[in-house]
Amino acid sequence: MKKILVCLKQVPNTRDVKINPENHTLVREGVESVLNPFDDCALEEALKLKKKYGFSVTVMTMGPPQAEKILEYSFRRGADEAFLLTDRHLAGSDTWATATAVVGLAKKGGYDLLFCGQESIDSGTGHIGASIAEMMNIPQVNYAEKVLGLHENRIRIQAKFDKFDAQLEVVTPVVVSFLKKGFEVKLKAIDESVISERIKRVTLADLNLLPEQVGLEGSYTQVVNIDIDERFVGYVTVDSNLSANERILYITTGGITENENKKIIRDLSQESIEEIASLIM
Amino acid sequence: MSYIEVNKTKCIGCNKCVEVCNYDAIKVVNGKAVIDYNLCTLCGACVKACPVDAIVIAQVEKKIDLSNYKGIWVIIEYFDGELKNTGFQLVSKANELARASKDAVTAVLVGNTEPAEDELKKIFSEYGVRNVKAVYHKDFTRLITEDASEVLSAQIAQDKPKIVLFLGTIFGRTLAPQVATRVQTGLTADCTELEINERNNLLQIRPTYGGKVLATIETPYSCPQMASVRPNVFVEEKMPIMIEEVKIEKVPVKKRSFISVKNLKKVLMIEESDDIFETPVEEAKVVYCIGLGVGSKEGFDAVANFARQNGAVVAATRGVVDEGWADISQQVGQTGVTIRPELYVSFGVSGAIHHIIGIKNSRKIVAINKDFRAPIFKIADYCIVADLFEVIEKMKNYSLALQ
Repeated sequence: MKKILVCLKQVPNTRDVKINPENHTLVREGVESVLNPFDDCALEEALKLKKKYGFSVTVMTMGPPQAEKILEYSFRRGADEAFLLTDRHLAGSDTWATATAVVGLAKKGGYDLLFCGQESIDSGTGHIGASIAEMMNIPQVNYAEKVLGLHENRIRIQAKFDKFDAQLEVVTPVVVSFLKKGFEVKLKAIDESVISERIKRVTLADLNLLPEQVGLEGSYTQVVNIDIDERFVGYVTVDSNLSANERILYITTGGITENENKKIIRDLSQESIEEIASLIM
Repeated sequence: MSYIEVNKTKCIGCNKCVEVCNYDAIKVVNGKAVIDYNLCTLCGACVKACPVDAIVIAQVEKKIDLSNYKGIWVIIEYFDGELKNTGFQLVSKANELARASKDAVTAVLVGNTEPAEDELKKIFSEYGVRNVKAVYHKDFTRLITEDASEVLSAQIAQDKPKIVLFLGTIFGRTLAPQVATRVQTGLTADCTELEINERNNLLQIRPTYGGKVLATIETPYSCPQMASVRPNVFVEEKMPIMIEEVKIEKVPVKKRSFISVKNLKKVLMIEESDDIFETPVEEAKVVYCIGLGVGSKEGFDAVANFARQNGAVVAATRGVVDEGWADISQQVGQTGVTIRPELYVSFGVSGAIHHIIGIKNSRKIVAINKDFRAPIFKIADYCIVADLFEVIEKMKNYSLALQ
């Protein structure tokens, strides 16, 4: 029986992330943490193989203890085994350090197929699958759409490439990074009382990794500054030189004003329609 | 070993850091912030929130001599005799960086094409590139980047460039992390700006958190410093030099332990994808972009039909692609394609920054949204504050009346 490892990441739902106009920081309170949708597609492909060929599906994630939520979700989806790699030394890991940690865990299990999402919605680098494969010195397929089939140690995958769809045949073990697509999520009824206990928690020591290989110290890139793009802060600054009426108009229009570079159309009169038609048609 | 520290003398116990921490990793104890290192991910939110600069993330200090690394490489695809022309945008940015860092720019062509020297000399002389290196093998394919990665990595180890830039096409976005991993260095994806800092290092600026935050990233202790940039992010700028000044160096590849040679990976079939839209969004002159404001798949289809009637190519925001109404190849913005059409018209697009990043260089921006507070109006040339379906309806009636 072949073994699949699916690498998952818990991400903030970036659509909900707002910017605090007062201190220009991200407001993450009330922002839902979700399984990265690309990873959900990777999990879906793994579960299809489980159904078709009876493979085992192991999921793993790396992150703070709250990340176990997505592992519990994976059990409800039908995963067999789950690892939570949590260790304070992992904080600040870039994609190199993250891949190092994932490879540490992947090597322990002797997996035939390693599935990832092509990228995450919060940082979107698309590096992890490629780095894992290079570190393990095994083939990789990126921008994968679906698994077409499997015969002995050869897997066929459909992948997207610019304007083309390609079919690739690769020898296992292989890392496959999947694009996201819509599918119907089916959840299984499972014993909820033991769901958290089923998660296997591992630390760096369990993987024979040293603290300096991961985290900030094990990262080649370092974030030296974080800025909020001022143009997108959700408030307007009113010029005190404007007249009262101008100020009211300015505020009620959310800070957009007409000038030589910007025209505002607020009604759909015949005149406006003609103007819009000349613009867009 | 803690990289985040609270200066107890400066801390005023204001709780602002506690409010912004997404990981419940900070508590105020006896009027001072205390960090729980088991929960902290070093995301830096508290550092920005602190009004008195009491929280700092210490940078790791390592002493490494990187003075042997010189020059800026720009990797350009060269398959089937066709030079990826968006590569010149990156070459132009590299020229700018090279002026600041006093380095030379080398265009490194990777592909299956043996260089046509005269032609290449002429092209690269227009962009001020004196050094061109062509790494090629007739069997290279864009779909098995592992082969090119192996060769390019060996070349980098030998020549020691200080900076390597990749164009963020599918090929480049696959090749870059492979090479970075092989040569063991840092890589930043999808940069929207590149600069040289006072230490002569590359600053890699990229949006993150769905584009709401701009992170500045440095690769301080390893070389080359690598970054990828999506097509159309930078503008190409000619900088002509004499044709004779351009040197072409051919690096024909000898097959070694290639993955394709070992038969570990092969391409069985390539076919045109069945996308309805013939012109890719990034090449279109007129783009109609559809946002979640259309409300449903039916709403999306209605606007898409209107677009096709007007000869426009249909693009979509990430939200619309997430809903499954549009294909991922139509996604415009930070995680999709960056476009600069002559005309961009948005229908029910609010204008989240990750989207704005991908469209802001369009020649003319027309935004239709019934919410006057939609951020897209801030960058639009024409703001149409109206119901999009009403606009479409009236446009159709108007053109019928003309016939």
